[in-house]
Amino acid sequence: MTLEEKFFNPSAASGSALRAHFNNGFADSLEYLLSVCEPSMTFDGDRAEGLLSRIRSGSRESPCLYSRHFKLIEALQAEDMASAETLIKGILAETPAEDGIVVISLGAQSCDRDTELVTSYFCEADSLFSYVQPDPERAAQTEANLYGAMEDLRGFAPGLAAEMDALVNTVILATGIQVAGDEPGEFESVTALRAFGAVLFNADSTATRLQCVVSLIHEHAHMVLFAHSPNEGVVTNSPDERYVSPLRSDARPVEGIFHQSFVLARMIYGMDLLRKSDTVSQHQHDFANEFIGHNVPRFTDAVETLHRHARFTPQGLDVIRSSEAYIDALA
Amino acid sequence: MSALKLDLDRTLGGGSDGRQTGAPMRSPAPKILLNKMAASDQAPKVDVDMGKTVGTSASGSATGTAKAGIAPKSPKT
Repeated sequence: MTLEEKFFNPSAASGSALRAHFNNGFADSLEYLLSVCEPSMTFDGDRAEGLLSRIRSGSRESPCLYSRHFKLIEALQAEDMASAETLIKGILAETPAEDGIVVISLGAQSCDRDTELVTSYFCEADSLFSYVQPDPERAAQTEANLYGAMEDLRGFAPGLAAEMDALVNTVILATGIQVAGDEPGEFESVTALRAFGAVLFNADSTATRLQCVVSLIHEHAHMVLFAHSPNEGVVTNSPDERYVSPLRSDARPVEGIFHQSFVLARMIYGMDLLRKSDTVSQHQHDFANEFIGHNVPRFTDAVETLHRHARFTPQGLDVIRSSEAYIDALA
Repeated sequence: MSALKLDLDRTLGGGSDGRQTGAPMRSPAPKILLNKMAASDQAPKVDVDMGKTVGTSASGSATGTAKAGIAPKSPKT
């Protein structure tokens, strides 16, 4: 098995393996938190055992389960045992997620408080944006483009689509309200470890169906990295240690440069499959060619920056070497 | 000493430095990526505008802001 096949190329099998890996780390963490809580509160121990066993079996779980777990950490850190007890009840009541990726709108009638809980992890205290319910008409168009993009992916990149199905559960449409910064900002989509399985997508985006394909590949690639090394991370550099990446003008943490490198490689992978597809249109072919032509050199530059400054974890080194091997083979 | 001391090393995404990882990854608009790709055909290789918009994972800085831009607000990646 080549390095790319082992750590880079997406497939249904890689999706299952990544989900199982993430779930194992998650179950260990949840089991530890429950053990911390056990002396001071009562909960159904058998149900907890059953849930942990289900998670360890590689089950497809909802983003809300993962987010509640992180809320539990926050409650315990604040010694807010009442909230912790409520969160544990919610965690134990979670049922496995259904198959398939669902697109929902933040704040819509069908969107419950659980979605708002997950969405809270797309905002940081000093974030540029807060997120609110989108305009229904715009959301409907974006939703149609996203479902169309998923259909396209299943056609020209079935392995990638299958891996995405294993890791991505929900796309939440929202409008971003800029709450910081002196100049207008913009966002397309957001992912976060603490909202694992969910992608926040800008419902006001003017992204076409083809651009939605690129965005889905992009966000899914972040999810792959979260799942690949949820505890170990991909680098050991401090988040405060920043370097200018060839891809951006602002200095960034090394982890960010790592993420953008892998995400770029995965987008190039997707665009290469698109241009080789039997059903590709001339427009799609030109788009894919242009994308690859511009972004292969950028990937190479970003990886050079990583090799100068990154202290890779073993997991991170596997991923970056396999990404480089893929790009080298492409050339 | 606190009555309840969590060992963050034993939690998902937790580090011994007392910090949880997992800052959101905010991504720029692909249409901007492509526009800037086209513009870069005539532009010098190092271009502030382009750099702002082609990052492929979030940084905490806004995209499409050109020139002055928005300074990163947190160590998001």
